[in-house]
Amino acid sequence: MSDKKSLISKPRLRDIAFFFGPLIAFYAVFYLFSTGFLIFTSFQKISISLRKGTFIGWRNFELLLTDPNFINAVTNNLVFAAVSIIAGLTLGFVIAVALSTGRRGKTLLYAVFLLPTLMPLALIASVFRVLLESRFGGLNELLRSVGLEQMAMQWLIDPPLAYGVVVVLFINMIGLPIMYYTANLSAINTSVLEAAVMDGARTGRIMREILFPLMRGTHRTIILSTILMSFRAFDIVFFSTQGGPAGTTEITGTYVYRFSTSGTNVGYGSAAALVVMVVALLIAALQLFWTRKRS
Amino acid sequence: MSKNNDFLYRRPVEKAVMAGFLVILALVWSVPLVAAVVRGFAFNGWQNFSDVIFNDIGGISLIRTYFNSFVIALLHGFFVALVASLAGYGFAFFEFRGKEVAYFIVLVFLAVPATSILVPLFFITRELGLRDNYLAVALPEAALTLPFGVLLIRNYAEDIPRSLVEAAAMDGASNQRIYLEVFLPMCRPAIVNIIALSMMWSMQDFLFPSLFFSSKEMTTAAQAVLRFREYLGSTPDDIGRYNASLVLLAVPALLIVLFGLRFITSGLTAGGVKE
Amino acid sequence: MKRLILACATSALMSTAAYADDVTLELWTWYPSETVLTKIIDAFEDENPGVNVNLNLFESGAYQDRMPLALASGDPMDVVAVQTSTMVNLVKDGLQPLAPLFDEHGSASIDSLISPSALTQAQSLASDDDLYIAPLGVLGSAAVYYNADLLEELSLTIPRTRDELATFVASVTEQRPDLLPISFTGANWFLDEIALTVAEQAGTGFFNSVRYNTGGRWDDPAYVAAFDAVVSAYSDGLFSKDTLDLDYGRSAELFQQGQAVAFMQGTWESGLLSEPHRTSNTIPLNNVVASGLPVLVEGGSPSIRSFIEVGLAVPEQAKNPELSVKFIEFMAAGGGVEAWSDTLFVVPAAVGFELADGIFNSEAAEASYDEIANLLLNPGSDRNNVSDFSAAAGDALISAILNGDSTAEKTAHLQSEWESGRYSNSE
Repeated sequence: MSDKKSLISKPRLRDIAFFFGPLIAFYAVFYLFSTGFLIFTSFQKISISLRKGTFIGWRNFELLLTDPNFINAVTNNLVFAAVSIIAGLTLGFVIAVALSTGRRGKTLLYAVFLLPTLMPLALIASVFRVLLESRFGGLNELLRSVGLEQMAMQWLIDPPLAYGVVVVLFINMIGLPIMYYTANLSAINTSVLEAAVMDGARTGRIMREILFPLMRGTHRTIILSTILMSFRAFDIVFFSTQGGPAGTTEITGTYVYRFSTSGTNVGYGSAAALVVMVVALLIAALQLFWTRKRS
Repeated sequence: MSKNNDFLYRRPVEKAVMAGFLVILALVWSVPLVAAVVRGFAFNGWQNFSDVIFNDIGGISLIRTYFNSFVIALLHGFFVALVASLAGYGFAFFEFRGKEVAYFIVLVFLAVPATSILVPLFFITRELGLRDNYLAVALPEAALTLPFGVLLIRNYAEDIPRSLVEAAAMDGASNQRIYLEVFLPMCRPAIVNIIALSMMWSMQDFLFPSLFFSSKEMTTAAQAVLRFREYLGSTPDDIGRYNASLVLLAVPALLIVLFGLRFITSGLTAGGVKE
Repeated sequence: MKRLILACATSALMSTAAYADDVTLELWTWYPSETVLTKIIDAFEDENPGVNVNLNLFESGAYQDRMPLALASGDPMDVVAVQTSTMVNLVKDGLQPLAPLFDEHGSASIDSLISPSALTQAQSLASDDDLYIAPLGVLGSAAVYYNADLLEELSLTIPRTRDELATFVASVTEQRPDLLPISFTGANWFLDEIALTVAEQAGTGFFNSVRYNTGGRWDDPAYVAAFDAVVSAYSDGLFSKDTLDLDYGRSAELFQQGQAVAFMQGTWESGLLSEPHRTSNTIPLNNVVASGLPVLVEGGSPSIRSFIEVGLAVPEQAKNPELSVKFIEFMAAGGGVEAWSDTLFVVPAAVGFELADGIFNSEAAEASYDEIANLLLNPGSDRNNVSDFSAAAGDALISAILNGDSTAEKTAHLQSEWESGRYSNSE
């Protein structure tokens, strides 16, 4: 995480309380209690009224881990996260660098890339859905009208294509990485760049060999936050494919939702939420460990 | 404006390629946005928008819902900025045993989706007596954004020049004073950043308001739009209005980007590096 | 506009007979629409001066999350609508048994006001077989609605058998390739409904035998045949695979906008047959008729699974049970029925109720409604769904349709899922 020496070695208890107190309060109320609740209910078969729960030990977890749909959902989460990260670190980086030059229309371009991340995901996902309808959707109608009927596929129905659509949706969220790179870019030391230019280096080389390595902190932020936040994803899949067709694009968010709407098996939903948290924890730990080794 | 523009894309070829690349990508990216707006005009054109803005739908005035959303968004942003900046300072400048472990635990909760803690949240809200109170939604939202806020601020704090902070400490200033007089001003871009993000995410949230507000007067914009889906059916008027209301939900985002962007990116060079 | 009066303040002082001070009745529901509910509420308030009904209306999904939580937390609620599914068992501990309440406060005993068969279904929902809800009526799935003008224009008749359906689709495709023959949502739960409807066409009461644990299995011949029939309907082009990316709203929109000749959905869409309903919702169709699903299995006959819907109940925390009973009686069996009956979303369970005139604008429409009502009142099985399992069953169908999975494999898989304990069927 930090390879800089911290400023104050041993803070007084009073300072710890002052600076960390509010955070601890929030976490205790909202996360500790919730986790405790999840643990408590995950070992029971219990309904949302929380009356008459029966203790069933590890059964919920067994059922969960033997459900191929759940494993598939977790895998999808990881794949979509990986795709987002790769897109962010490559395409996002390039776009951010390109936009950081003093060109006209910068703000408009920023807006176009940023808007999808700031708008309700329900809107974007449902727009995609309507555009890609196989029979009456805008894209296929367009393709048919220019004689490209063979390309008018069933984008949301054919499993590999539907998967691709969701991938595209995730990439659509490239605005956030762009924003972080932009912030970091404006603050870097330009003397190194001057030297490189003086040496006759071309843009591509400058980007790859100087700028990219300089942004290490931002890379890490993006990777970590994308991985973790991908487990929060729900709207983006729910409003486009709903986890379909037949669970192809299911993610943990839509999986848990499916079982929580009937309210009769809160225990199972809690077990799912806990397993997801553990998986996220492991992955985050792995990622931190790996980056610490490299730096 | 960044200083980088002098060093990149100096050759005309590079400039042209870069420009073309950006334009093509931007066009691709704007397709869904344009399509959304077009759908907002379906069937009845401008009337969809005026219907939605000026008439109550389902007993709710859209303007009132925007007001509610805005208040909650502000509260959300405020709490996150305050708590995350305090904790970010602590993580960046303090050293104590188990710091990284604590940091890790703080971050891990980024993976928690709102849907998995709905039930416990409902009980918490009731116990705190916050039903139909803006805080009932703002506080959980802030809690969910906090891990991200801490991440953002700590990362930013560790990249800023420590000279000023060190000097202040040398002068014997208390942590609290350093925080107020040195840290906060220097971290302004990151803080503005997290407040903007908090506000945007808050505006999108329909889950918490649906759960914690029973009074119609408290409905928020995102919640109202999804409720419209129920009040309105599949008739032409309804479809048009529903789409128009979705587009209107994007308007705050657009405004923030248009006005706030300048603030964030230019503010960054103000705190620029001179080492 | 409904005034929001803090019920707590006034409730404690209520006498049961007169409403000297204003009384607020907190009504919680997700159905019908606000316009219809306002009509009912206004009529009730007119008959009962001094009473203010405060409507807490939610979207169905949100209602499933919200209501049980609020009920368990003791929120002020006087009349709650319960979804006729596993929700009843979920919340029944917070509800008061209705029969004694009606005996005490109603104008008659409940089984003389509401049809006994509907009440029996209501009782079957509670694990203790007690009556907690007064159902508004009966609905079911799946049925088919037709744009009668298009039928005439294209010289088509309502298809009743698989062969007729094939001819129907071929004829539409040939004459008007721009039209979708049958529009319906490809959502997994609806595919499950279609398959279950076909299973009932065999007449063996399949779903009941599975649902009520009387020996039915998902690999029984009736369901296997139905599963095959649905999959082959897609592969033979009777059902268009294009519908698999349509959601409910879009499929309805296409039909209403005249881009499809027929619309397959549950009978709660019967409002399409009602002229006042079409007009007040500006649905641009002039003539609509309906029928049951064409028979897709050998030797079968049309069938619909039906069940009661929208059950009104009195929560434990109701401040004024007499008023609650009054409202329920009004809405389910009294003057309120007329307010919502022209939406045709259920066949009313009120004893002796007759639909008013002026709802249908053609004899054909009225006759087809009678056909549907008849199927509803003589169901093969109860439409008593387990929603999380329904999604899984639908996914199995979709997977078979898209990937060619074998029916034997899929139905065996469904049976093991049913037994797994993962879903809400194990109560």
